[in-house]
Amino acid sequence: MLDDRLREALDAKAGIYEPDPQAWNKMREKAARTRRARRFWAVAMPAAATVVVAGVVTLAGGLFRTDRAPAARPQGEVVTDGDLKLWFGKVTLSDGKLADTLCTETPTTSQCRPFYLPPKDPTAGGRLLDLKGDPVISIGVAGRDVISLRGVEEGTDKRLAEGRVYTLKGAPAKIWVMRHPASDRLQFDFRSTGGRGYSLSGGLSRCSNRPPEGPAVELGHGVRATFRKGCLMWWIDDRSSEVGDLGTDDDYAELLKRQPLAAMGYGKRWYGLTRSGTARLEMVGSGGKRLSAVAKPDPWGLGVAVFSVPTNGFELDHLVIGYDAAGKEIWRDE
Amino acid sequence: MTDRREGAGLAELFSAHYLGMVRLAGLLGADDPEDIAQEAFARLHARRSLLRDDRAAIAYVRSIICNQTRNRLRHLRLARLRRTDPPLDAASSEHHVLVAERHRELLAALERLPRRQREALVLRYWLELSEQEIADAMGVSPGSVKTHASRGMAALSKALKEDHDA
Repeated sequence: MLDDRLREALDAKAGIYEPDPQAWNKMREKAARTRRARRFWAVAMPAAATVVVAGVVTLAGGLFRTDRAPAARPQGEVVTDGDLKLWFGKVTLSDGKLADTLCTETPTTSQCRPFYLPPKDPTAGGRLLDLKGDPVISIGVAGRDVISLRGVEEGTDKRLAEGRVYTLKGAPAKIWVMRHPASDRLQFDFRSTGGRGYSLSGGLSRCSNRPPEGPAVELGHGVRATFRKGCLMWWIDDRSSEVGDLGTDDDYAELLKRQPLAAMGYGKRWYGLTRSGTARLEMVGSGGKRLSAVAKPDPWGLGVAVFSVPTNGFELDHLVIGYDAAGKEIWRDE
Repeated sequence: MTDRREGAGLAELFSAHYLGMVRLAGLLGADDPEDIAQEAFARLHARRSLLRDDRAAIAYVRSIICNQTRNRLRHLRLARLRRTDPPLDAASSEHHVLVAERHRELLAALERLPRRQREALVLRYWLELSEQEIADAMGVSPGSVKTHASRGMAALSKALKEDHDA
């Protein structure tokens, strides 16, 4: 009987998995991060309806949403660095507790991010990227013992940039700013009192160090994509939104032959990569509602198509159908 | 319930069900089932009110496992595809070879099924859940569970027949 065979096969395969002895501790670490994230959302989305989620940038291996104004009011000094203003703010959470945020303001944008300062290491609390930005501006939060920062080339220690570390009276941490060239091998070297040093490199995506080069693919409604040396970048309203490090050695066309869709983002827009030959995609939602996106064929000669469409409140669902230029269904992904 | 009692409740649930949840994530096709199971329990930790009812807590963790696995397969697909198969520890490698030999065709056919069919079959035939419990875990109606399971079994049967005929 197939039922029995299936039970036996599933039991046998399940037996492969053995738990990590550190699982409990790892789960608790995740729970702590979840608490911090919830705290962040409470900061980023205070009941004010005016908060606009502007995008997502990749940093330190994770995705951090950023919010535009209204930024938190400064708690103490405001640092000016060129056309940047930076300060620490506090926001009252729904449970009445206060949360620390690092706020930045440029001539065109304003945003606050919560920060978590580990007891010893400096933290890369944020990064600004401008579509035309060269050099790139990186900003972050560092421990109070940090006194200097420079950017060096990983492996050679060749100096690439100087950073500035700002001390704000009474602040719980310091703020750092560094303007640096785009480099795959940039390493942030911090020096602290007593001669101790810390470095950040691998944690900062090599792609997030790289402003776009070459033509951007215009996908309409404020979305564009760039691809360069394995770095796929999505830009929403001219701000870096999401960075995908696709590596440099893979054959993406081959990968997308096996799986037709690589949906890289879903929010106000649904955007991603799809199999070459796909002219249109449809996400089928509950009740038969459909969200349709037209794909741009192979803009970078990689054998992949690119798509983006505003979601207009369409709820993410899991059946997606791909059609060719003649309107014939060519794949289905559930 | 005090924090301490809730902590003890979570520890007991974790101890009793963690391995099962890792295996469930693995059977559903997760590339990092441990990570997904830890994430699910971490979310349970954030929803302590569920700890008052073990069954509700486990149903919640199960639904998170299904959702997380589905979402990761979709949204992290490129990253996943770039990796080689997840490494198995040395102790289980021999077991893995045996599994691969005896059940290779069936497991391969299961992996090729549409995601929801695969979920329905794993939840029914491995966890032996009721249709309602499967529906809760998958976030669909019980009628839809029936459809997915029945289509899944038909597809498995056909795939195995084709393999033998080939």
